[in-house]
Amino acid sequence: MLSLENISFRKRNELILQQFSGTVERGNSITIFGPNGAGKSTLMQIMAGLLKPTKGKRKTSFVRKNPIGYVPQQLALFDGLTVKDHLRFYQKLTKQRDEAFVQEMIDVLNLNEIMNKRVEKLSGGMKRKVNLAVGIIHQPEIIFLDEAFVGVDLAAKFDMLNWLKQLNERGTTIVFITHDWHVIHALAKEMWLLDEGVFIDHIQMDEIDTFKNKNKLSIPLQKMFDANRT
Amino acid sequence: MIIRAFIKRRFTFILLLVVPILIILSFYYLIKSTADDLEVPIVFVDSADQPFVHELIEELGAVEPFRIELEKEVPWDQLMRGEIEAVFHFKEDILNQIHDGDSNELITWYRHEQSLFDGLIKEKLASTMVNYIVRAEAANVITYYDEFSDWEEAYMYGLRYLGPEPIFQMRFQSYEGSVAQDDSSIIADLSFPRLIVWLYVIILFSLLAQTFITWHKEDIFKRLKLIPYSIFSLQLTWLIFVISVGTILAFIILNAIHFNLNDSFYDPSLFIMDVLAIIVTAILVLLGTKIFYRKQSFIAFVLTYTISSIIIFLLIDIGLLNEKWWMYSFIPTWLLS
Repeated sequence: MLSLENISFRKRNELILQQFSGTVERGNSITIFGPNGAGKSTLMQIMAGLLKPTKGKRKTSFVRKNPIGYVPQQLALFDGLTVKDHLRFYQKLTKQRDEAFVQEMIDVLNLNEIMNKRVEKLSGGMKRKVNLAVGIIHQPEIIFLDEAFVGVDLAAKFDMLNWLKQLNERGTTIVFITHDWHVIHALAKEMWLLDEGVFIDHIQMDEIDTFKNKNKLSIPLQKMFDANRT
Repeated sequence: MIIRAFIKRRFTFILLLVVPILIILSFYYLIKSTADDLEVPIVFVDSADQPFVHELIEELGAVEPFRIELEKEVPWDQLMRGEIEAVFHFKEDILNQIHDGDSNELITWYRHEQSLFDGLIKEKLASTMVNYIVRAEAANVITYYDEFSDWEEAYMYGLRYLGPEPIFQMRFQSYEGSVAQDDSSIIADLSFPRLIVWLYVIILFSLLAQTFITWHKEDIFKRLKLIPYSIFSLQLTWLIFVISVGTILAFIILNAIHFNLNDSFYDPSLFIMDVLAIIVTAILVLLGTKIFYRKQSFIAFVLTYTISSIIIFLLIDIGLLNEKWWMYSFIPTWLLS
């Protein structure tokens, strides 16, 4: 579905990503894991097609016209508009005519009660849910989530994970960045480890507790792994 | 729906609705006050308060645009400050001097070096005075040759005997009715309001365009970039919206000012150039948001361009700068003749 071959990315003479290769299969759910400054967001933006790699190739084989859904770390919402306005606007923009899907998403994410509220009046968790909803309203084949769960309360997190898991079960591919082990355990099938722009390893989630190369990781990455046990 | 996002700020509403009204009102009162204040102050000084001078002023009648005031002393300070166009100081016992045929230096004419129009009132005053002098001269001549004739009677009908004959006469024709003006003078009259309207339009557009900079900062464009043609569609919507609003407001403002000034509506052929300026300004502002992602850089770009444009416009308008091809890169220069 999406493959990267020897991808490197350089910004102002600084090498942010080095010789990265990887493949994303349809229906997989991958978390890109690593400490701050590891190049996770850069890798995700290259995968989504938002950044052009300095070296290497990105190959895709999508079926739909609007195959990618992107949920940025920032709340990419229009302050003056209501939740309903947002959904209608992105529906129109992406030519999404599947009303049943949109209604199901509204129901699962529990957005019904806030449909007529302006986004600047919403709580952080609610805003995150709207941010997710508008990013995937067009039923993309692959969803990229860049720390989409930051500042989300448990109730909102439950709704978001519930919806994403349902989509993944129906065949939607998910690639996400998070530091939240609860989200990783709930959603990820595979983990890509990244440190200082270098690909370290990829782990299947059912092997995470028996991961043998932990001692070879950098200290920050080891600590992040230890956080899993606490 | 998306237009609501463009104009979500209260300040934008104020700029959209209140500023055009303020521009129209400002020009209305400016034009009105300019027309009302069109008076040229002239002072007649008669220290002896002679009835003859009163009679003379009455004879002169209302001479527009002059406002004649009668004083007993020469107002030197006001004259030196240029607040008075000219002073005409009448000699004491002026009537007896006229009767005696001594008509030299009956009046002393004081003027400021920058006075322009006082020559007109001087001519009018001189021609009125000539009537008195000629009548007195006629009475003197008649009573000299005929000692039984009555001086007062001869003075009364003096102009019959000794009418002043001009040495040469200039052919003069006056046209009544509507005053014909050529198009360039109309443009000159409206060039400043057109500049103000353009200034308003670029401020309005820049304010509305800041939404794009905010969206860029908040990663909205990153999300939209993945939806084919969505950014283009948004920018096109913005362009259509701002051009429509700018054109409608410019049309209302310029027509209101033109009607106030000339009692007629604004020439549509001139308005085409205003619309062109509005369209290019909208495109320029939009390009600015694509080049300058930071709000400060964008504002600096708009301010630099606007101030440079106004300076170039004014320098050309007052004739300190000759028009050159590169000056047309400053949009307001298109609004000159």
